[in-house]
This record gives sequence, structure tokens and C-alpha cells, in this order.
Amino acid sequence: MKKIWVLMNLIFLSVLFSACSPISKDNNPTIKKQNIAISTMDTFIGGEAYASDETWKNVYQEMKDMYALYHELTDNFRGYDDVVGVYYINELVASTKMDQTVEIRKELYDLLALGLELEDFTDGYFNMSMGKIIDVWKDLIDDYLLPGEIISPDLIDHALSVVDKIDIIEDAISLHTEDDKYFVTLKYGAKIDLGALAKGYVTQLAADLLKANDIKTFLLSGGGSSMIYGEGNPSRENGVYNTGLINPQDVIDNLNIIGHRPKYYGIYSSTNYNMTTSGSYNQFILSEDVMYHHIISPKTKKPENYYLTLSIVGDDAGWNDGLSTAMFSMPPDVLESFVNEHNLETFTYLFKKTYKAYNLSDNFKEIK
Amino acid sequence: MKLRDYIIIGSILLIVGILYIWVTYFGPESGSIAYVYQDNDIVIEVNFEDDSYILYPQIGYEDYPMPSVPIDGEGGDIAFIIIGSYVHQGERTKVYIEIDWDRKAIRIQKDETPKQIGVRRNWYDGTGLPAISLPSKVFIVFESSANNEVDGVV
Repeated sequence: MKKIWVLMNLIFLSVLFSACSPISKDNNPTIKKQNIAISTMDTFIGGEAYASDETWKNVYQEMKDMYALYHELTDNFRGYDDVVGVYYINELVASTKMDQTVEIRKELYDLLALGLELEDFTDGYFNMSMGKIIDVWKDLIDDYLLPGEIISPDLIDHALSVVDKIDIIEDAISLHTEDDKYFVTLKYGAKIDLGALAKGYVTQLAADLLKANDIKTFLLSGGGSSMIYGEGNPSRENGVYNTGLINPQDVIDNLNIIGHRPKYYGIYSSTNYNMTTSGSYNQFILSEDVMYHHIISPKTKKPENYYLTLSIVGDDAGWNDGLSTAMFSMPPDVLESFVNEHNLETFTYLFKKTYKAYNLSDNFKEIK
Repeated sequence: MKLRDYIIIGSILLIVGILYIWVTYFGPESGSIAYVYQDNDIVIEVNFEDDSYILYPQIGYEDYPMPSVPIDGEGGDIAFIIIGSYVHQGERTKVYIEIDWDRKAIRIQKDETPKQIGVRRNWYDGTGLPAISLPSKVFIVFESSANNEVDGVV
């Protein structure tokens, strides 16, 4: 009788504990869902990861420290004490009116090296040294309160005349190392802007940090334009993570409806992937029915309107952040040969209320 | 074993089975918890399962979140004022948060930011793009739900 009681108690306790831990991963009761919410780099990094409290405490702190470091290194609006970052370098070149070589941290060196690689890879459609041109358009767009506001053509003409006088400096940024120290040289006339690269880059480092700590089930949202996923999503039987691709035309058509929930034109399902989108529909003004937005083509020094959004799938959010920005400014014929040459799974939402996909996989499902 | 033993064992198994089904299928749903962040701190935790909330005093503004009154006729059941990061005339400005128990949603009802992007997002129930006011550094985050068709949007 005693044995039966012991056996029954064991069954009772084991079932009870398993029922009380519905979000445990891999039957390990110490692993539970941990929330990620970091306010940094003028955006919000959200997400979740499955880890034990003990592991998470250290990993999450390291992640927050990492974002804080890169925020200070890449901020081009303000400087920080004892930080040799983008702001410091830009100000030094502007104030001395000459080329400057500055010793920088390896973290910034590696980020700039990735940017230079992207400039080469995209044949100059990615450019991180045309900050002065970006500032002209950004200042114009930021002056208006709501997306889609109509402005006078005179203001556009003025902006065009200003950027026309700003040269795109060739080989504006160069890097070298010496005695285990890292240096950047910025040419006079150029201004570094890492807005199209830094956020995705650090978010990828955050994902790498999770994986290095054996945290395989996670999702990270980098400010609404980039998602990074792990594997084993407990919300779905097959463990995949689903990304909704927003229909930008639906957003524009309903700008006046407060609280409108935009439709998706497709859902992408997979594991261990990154989906990054560059788009014009969130921040733009209108003049003579032309959209002027924040993604500036280095080729024309103005925003181009070949697509409303461009999304790419890959495994590196930093690379994809810069790459999607560059591809957004490519005319359709250039884009087509580019994505085919590099076998990039790409989605473009066009102005004709439809989308075009390149190198489409079975992971995409169209939403009618 | 006697008949009594079988009855006891059967009863225990029945109770365990009922408990398991209850917790698994009728326990708190993922997605029923939401958090309102100001910068990196949770200031309001909302449980839509039992219509409860927890307030966490803001550092340097211990009187906030401060209870307020929701706009009449727009669905809000309770409201709170928090202090955002947006600075106007040298002072950090107030952000009005409303909670609607029926639709299990939260909104930034009012703030003083110039573009009102967070306010225009209106009621947010965890689906679609997150509700964010960047100048105020206020973020509304729902725990992900298995009922959602997507895990993220771009």
C-alpha cells in the first residue's frame, strides 16, 4: 500500500509541475520566456528569448551594455564624454576643414569595415559618408508633422539646389590598423551617417550573443524594420517564426484613420533567419504627387520611388540593413540583375498595389 | 490491492487529469499580459486575464504612474499619467495611457510630442506594428500569443 502511495504522489507531483510550466522549453523547468525591451539608438528593441533566470541576468545586461556602447559610438547628433565616435569624427573634420585620421575602438572599426564592404558590394548604392546630403532631406521631412503632408515645390527645388552643391566624396572613409590600434580617416567634405547600418548591426550582435550562450529560441525586433529569429518557436507546432510583410499601400490609403491596422501582403515562415525591410511609407512628404522620403540614393542625391518597400531575407541583420537600403535606390533593371547575381530572396512592393518577388522560396505565403 | 485502493488511485488520476486540462487549456493565455515601458523600465503591467494591473513608480517621479480618468465614450476603462522623455519648455512631459478591458487593448491617449505618432496608433492589442512614442520613449509591449498569425512584422 505504501509503495502505491509513493508512486501515486510521484505521478501527481510530476504531472502538476509539468502543467504549471506551460512555457517551459525542452522540458527544462528552469528555462522560461524572458522579455527583451531596450530603449536605445533612438528606437525600441523588443523581443523574447527562452533562458534560465541565471543565464538571462548576465546575457541581458551584456546585451543592454552593447546597445549603449554602439549608441554612443554611432550617434551623429551628439557627442559623449571620452567617446571617439561618429559625432566626434564628423565635428573634428568640419571644424578643422581638413582630412582627419582618428584612433577608434575596434567595435566602430568593424562596423565601418562592414559599411565599406557594402559600398563595394552594391557598387556605391550604399554610402555611409553622405551625411550632409541626408541631413538636407531629413531636415525638410522632419519639419512636417504628419506622413503624407503636401508641401510647396519651391521647398523641394531649394533642397535639390542645396544637395546639388554637396559633392559625394570618393573613398571618403578609409581604415587601417597599426600596432593593434584601429584608425579611420575621413576626408574633408564628407560626413559619416550610420543610420542605415548601425541598428541592424548591433541587433545581429545581440542575436549572436544569445546563440553564443546556447539560447536558441528567440525573436528580436530591431525598431520595426528588422526581425531576427532563432528556432523552436513554442507558439507553433513546427517551431517556425512567421513574419508579416506589411502592405504599405494599405497604410498610405488609410493615413487618416487613427488606429488603422495595416494588412499584410504575405507571410514568411522559417527558422534562424532575418527579415529586413526598407520603405518610404512611414516617413514621407508629398509635392506635386511625388513622395520625398528619408532613403536617399547616392547616385542621384535624392529619394527615389521605384518601390514602396523592399524586404530581403538572410542570416545577417547588419548586412541586410545596409543592403536593403542600397537596393531600395536601385532602378528595377539594376535590382533584378543584382538579386539574381547574388541569389537574394527579395520582395518589392510596387506602386501598382502589387508586389514582385525574386528568388522566391517555399517559405513565403501570399495573403490576398 | 483492495477495491478501496483502486478507488483512491482512480480518484487521484481523475483529479490530476482535470488539473492538467484546466491549467493547459484554461490557464492564463499567453498574450494576456502587456507592459507599458518608459525608457528601459516597466511602469505599468497589465493582466487582461483578470483585469488587474501593477504600477511601478517611476524613478525620480515617484507619484507616477498617477491614476487619471479615461476619455468618456472611447472605450477606456482606466487611465494613468506617466512621465515621458520628451522635454517641452525645460520639463519632461506627461503621457496619458488608457486601458480597455473589453478589447484587451492599451493606447497612448494623449502626449505632447509634435508628430503624435504613438497617439495616432490608438488602441493596440499586440497585433501588427508595436505602439511606440519615440520622443516620449514609451513602448507598449504584449507578450506574444499563439493566437497571433505572425510573430513579427516588417
